[in-house]
Amino acid sequence: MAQVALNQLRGMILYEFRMHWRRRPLLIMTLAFTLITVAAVLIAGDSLLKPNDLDVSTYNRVVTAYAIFTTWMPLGIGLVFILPVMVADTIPLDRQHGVRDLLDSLPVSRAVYLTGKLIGTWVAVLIGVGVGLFFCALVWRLRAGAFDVGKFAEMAIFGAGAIAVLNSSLGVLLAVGQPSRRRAIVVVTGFLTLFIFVLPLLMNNWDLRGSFNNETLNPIRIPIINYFMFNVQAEAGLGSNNPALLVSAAVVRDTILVGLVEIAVIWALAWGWLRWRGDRA
Amino acid sequence: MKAILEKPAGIMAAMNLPMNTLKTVLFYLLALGLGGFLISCAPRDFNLMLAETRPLAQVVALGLGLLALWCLVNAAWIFAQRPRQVAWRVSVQLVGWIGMVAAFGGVWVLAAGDGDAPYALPIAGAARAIESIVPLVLAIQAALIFSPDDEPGLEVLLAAPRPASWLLLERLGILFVSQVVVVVAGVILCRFAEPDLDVLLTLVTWLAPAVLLMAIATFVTIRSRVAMFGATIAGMVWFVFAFFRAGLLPGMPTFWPLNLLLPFIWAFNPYLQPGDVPMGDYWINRVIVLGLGVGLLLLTVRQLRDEEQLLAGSRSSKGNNR
Repeated sequence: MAQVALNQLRGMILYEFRMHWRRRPLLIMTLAFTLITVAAVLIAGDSLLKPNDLDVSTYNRVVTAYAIFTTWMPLGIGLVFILPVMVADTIPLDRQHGVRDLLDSLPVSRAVYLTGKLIGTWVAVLIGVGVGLFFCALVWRLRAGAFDVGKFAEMAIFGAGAIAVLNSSLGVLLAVGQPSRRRAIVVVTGFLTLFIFVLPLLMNNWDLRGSFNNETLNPIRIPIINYFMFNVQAEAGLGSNNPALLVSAAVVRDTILVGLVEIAVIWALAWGWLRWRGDRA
Repeated sequence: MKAILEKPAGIMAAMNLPMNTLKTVLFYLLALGLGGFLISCAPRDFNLMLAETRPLAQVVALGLGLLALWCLVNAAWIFAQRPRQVAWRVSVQLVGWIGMVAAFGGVWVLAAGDGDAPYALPIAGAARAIESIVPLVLAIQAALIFSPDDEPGLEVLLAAPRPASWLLLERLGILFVSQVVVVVAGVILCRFAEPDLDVLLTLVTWLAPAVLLMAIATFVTIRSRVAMFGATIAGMVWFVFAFFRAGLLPGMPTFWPLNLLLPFIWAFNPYLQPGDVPMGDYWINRVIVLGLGVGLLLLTVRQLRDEEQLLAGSRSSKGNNR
């Protein structure tokens, strides 16, 4: 029984992966952040080359900080604001295209269906982001010379990877009950607006500085964004040491863990909703 | 000669790639290369002040203003000739009430805030609530209102006597009117929140960014066939200009190569404020922003004329054979 479920899951993941790459949004998001980063490196041109009066380790730290910053800026914005909306139609499209009744008549459980959709989206997004980041790192290596690959990989895994998994899950699961792509976009955009802007503003009494770094449930995942935006700069001696912006690694870890719990809860709610609707039908 | 011309198409067909894709890729590569070349030629310390860019802005404003006027007169003339062709009820049902409620809710939340407080949201406060929220909601709605990939029965719709462009403009018109209602209600709300509010200016300032963002959302949606592209691109434009307006004024400190563009951004910044530049320049900016919006809508309508492109996402065969 478990083997059958695993085979179904594998099939769904493969199918969903292909579907995401056949639609254009993921491809365009990957290309957009890669091109923006590569253009920034090429435009910076000779200013990236090591000055004679700078020692190698300092130069290495500075180039690493620049590499992470220039990659993280466009990628972070894409993962926070665009990715959830981009994958929102993953489940609603089945109903829009009229294949949902067919899927319901097959011996595929709701849990397998939902998990397959989710993991398929993760695989598609992570491969896209991974390939884009590899290309960006390659261009940095060729243009500016050696930089700390470990730090860059840390950003790729705990920054980009974590937010990609958390926010793509939000996009897929929040729109689970919607009948069409249009409704899915409206619902996910509404949720994002509520959680990113409205609630933090009302709760923090309009002080954006407020407690953003403690808002582990906010889809912006501010602690992760700030960690790779400002901590890396401060470590290289480039940015300010404003304590309101600097985040400890423990808070980043907590944000990822809380985000995973959040996704698990929303997954359970989505599964419950699918089951309730199925029973009613 | 004919054989030579046909050869690339044959190679492309053998590689299972459409000729148009190659043309598009080559066009973008050429544009990128040219852009990169021009940027590399420009001096690093390039800087212009507002007074130096004003004559250019005036010429552009005149051109775009005339274009916008021509479009509006034409649209009014066509509408006057076929007033019975408008299916108001269906369009009103399609537009729905969610956008109006969302926009009014957003205005309410923002009007309660203080945009001048340190670290506050720059778009908060009664004076900016309407012009910040209404254009964004309008743009998202405009992106969703007609996307070829999501339109049920597109082929039947294109075969009907009412052209697709008419359908789009009709829906956009309803959307626009629905948001005008929100603006009027929002102005009353903001007047209560801030008794010193300049009501006339608040009623006018939202118009230009609303038309531009609506046009960007519609253009990108029709061009890409996917509503979420239109919504996200319009959202990004809104985010950049609404949040970073103050940093995009002429003379602000910036970095290369943005300094090549910065002296000109004020002219087409949809969120320029009356206090940012002299009042005459502010109205030049409004005309340019409005003209850009109307021009983009015109381009969108032109795209809708090619039924084959709209249906299959490919260029018309008539166009290829020419």
